[in-house]
Amino acid sequence: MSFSFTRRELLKASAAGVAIAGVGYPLFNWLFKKKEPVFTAAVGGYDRDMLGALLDGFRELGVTPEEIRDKRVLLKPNLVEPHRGAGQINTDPLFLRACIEAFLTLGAASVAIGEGPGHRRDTYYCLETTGVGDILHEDKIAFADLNFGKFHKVKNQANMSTLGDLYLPEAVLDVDLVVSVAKMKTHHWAGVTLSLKNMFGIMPGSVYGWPKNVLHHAGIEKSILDINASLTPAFALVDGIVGMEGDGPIMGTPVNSGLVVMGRNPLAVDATCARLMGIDPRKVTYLIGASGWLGSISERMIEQRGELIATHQRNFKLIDKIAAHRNIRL
Amino acid sequence: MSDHIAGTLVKTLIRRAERGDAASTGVWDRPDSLAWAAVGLGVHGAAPDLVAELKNALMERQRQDGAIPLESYTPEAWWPTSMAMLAWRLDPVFVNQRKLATEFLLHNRGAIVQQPEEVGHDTTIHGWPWIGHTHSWVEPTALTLMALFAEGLRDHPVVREGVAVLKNRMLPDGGWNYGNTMVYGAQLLPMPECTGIALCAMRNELSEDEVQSSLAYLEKEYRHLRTPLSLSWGIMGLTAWGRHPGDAEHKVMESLTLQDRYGLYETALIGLLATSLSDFPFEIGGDAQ
Repeated sequence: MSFSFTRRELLKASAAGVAIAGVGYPLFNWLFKKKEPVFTAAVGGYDRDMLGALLDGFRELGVTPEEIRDKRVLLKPNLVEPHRGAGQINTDPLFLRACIEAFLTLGAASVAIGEGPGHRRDTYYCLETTGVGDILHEDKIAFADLNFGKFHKVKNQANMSTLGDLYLPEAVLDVDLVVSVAKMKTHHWAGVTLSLKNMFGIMPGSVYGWPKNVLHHAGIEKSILDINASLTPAFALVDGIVGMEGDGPIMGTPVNSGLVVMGRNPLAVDATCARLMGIDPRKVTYLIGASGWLGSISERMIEQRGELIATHQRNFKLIDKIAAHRNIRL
Repeated sequence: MSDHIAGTLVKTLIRRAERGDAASTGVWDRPDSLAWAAVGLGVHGAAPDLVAELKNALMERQRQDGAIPLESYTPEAWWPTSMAMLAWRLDPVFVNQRKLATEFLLHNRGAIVQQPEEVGHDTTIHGWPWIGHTHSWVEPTALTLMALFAEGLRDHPVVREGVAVLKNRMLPDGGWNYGNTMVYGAQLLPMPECTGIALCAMRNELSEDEVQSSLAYLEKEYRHLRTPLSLSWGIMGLTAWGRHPGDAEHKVMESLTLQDRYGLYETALIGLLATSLSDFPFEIGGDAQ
C-alpha cells in the first residue's frame, strides 16, 4: 500500500501549483522570496495562559484587526476518533476555547466549530467524549457536523488525486475564514498529521465515507494537496501542548511538548512543527509535494518568531516498521 | 415510562414527516432520514399511511439499477440502499423495489485490495462499502446483511462472504470499530455504535461464547452512552443477544435532553431511538418469515 509520489508527480505538483490562481498561497510573495512568518509559543499545559500566547502570536504574525473584525470564523479541530482517557488523540477542548476567545477578542463577528470526524459517525459522541461539547454549551458556540450537513460541488484546484471536483460542506463555504486547529501528531500512513492533514475532516463522510475511504483510494497524500489547494485555511493553529508520538494518529503515546505553533500559511506551520518533532519536512512526502506552490518548507523561506526551534526540538518517537516513519528524522 | 418516551419519539417523527421539516434545513428528505423514520414508526405500528408515504418517497429515490443514493448527483454514495430495504422489509407492496435493491447489493460490493502486510484484517474478502468502489467496512456490511437476511438470502454465497467479513473484523479483544482491526501490529479500539450494529447482524451467526468479549465491552461502554447513534445501536446490539438494558427508556430520555445542548437531532437519529425502544426492531438479524 504505497502512497508516495513519483519524481514525475512531484514535478507535476510544482508545475500545476505554479499554474494555479487563487489557491490561497500568496504566489507573489513566494516569487519574490518573502519569508512566511510562523510563531511558536511555549505553553506548559492547558491550565496556562493559552489565550495570551495566541494573541501574542497574532501580533507577531502581523495580523491586523481588519483581517478578523466582523468576519465569520469556523474553527476546524481534530476530533478524529475520541476515546475516554486518550486526550492526546484530539485537539484539546481548552485549547479550542482559547482559540475561540482569541478570534472573538480580535473582533470576529462569530466563531463556530465544524468537524466531520474521520472514523466516527457519531459526532455527538465525539463532542461529549472530548469535552468539546461542554465548551460549546458553556460558551454558546455553534457547531456544524461536516459529515452530514448540506454540501456543494467545488472545483478541485489542483487535481493531484483522482477525486475530481470536491463536495464541501456549506458550513465551511459560508464563512469568511476557515482555521485549521490541528493536533501535533505522528501518523502511520502520512508520517505526520498537522494542519494540512487535519483538513481531511472537512470532507463530508456522507459523500467520502468512513474512514474517509474515498480519499484513501484516491491517494492520501494527493488528496491532502487537493483539499488544501481548493479550500486553503486562513490560519493554522497547532495544539502541540500535548502531542502524540509513535503509532499515531490514534494508538500513539502522549508527549508533553508544551508548544503552540501558528501562522497564516499551513505548510510553513507544518514544516515548523515537523522540525520541532525532530522530523525533516523535506522527507515527508506530502509536505515536499506541497512545497513551492502551497507555500514553502524551506527554512530560509520561513521566518521563525517567538520560541526558537533549536530550544524546543525533541525527537518524537518514530517506529521503524512503519513505512511512513522511515528515514524522515532530521 | 416506555410508552411515554416511545410516544414522544413517534409524535416527533409524525410531525416531521407531515410537515416535511427536519432539525437541519435541507436534510428532511435525505433517504436515510426517510428510512429510519419509516422503521421507527413501523416498529411501533404508528401512522401506517404516513409510513407508506415514506416508503413511497424512498421508492421515488430508487434508481433503475436498484440503488438509493444519498443524492442523485452523488451516484457512488449509495449507502442508504440497505436502510431503504430495512424500511421496505417484508412489505409486499414494495416487493419489486426490494428485488431491485437486492440485486444491486448482491452485485455491488466493496473493493478488495491485495493484502497489505501492515493491515491485520483480510482485505481480500467482500463485504459492503459506504461508497461505491471503496473498501468494505463494518457498518455498511452489517446493515446490508440485515437487509439481505430479511430477503431470505442467509445462505447466498455473497451473504456468507459478508458474514465472513464481520467475523474477520471483530477485534481480538472484543467489539468492532469502523473496520480496521490491526495496523502495524497494534490492535485498534472498539466503538459502541459499530459493535451494536455488528452484534445485531451476527445474532444468528456467532455463538454466545464467540461474542462474549464483545458483549462485555458493549455492556461496559453502555453505561457511558448518551448520544443517539451509539445509544440506539448499543441498546439494539444488547437486545439482540437477550441483554436488553433495563434502563433503556431512561437512557433514551437522557439522550433526548442532550438536544438542549446540541439542538434538535436529525430525523434519522430520532427514528433510530424509536426503533431501539421496540421489542423486536425489524426482528434484529432475523430471516424473512
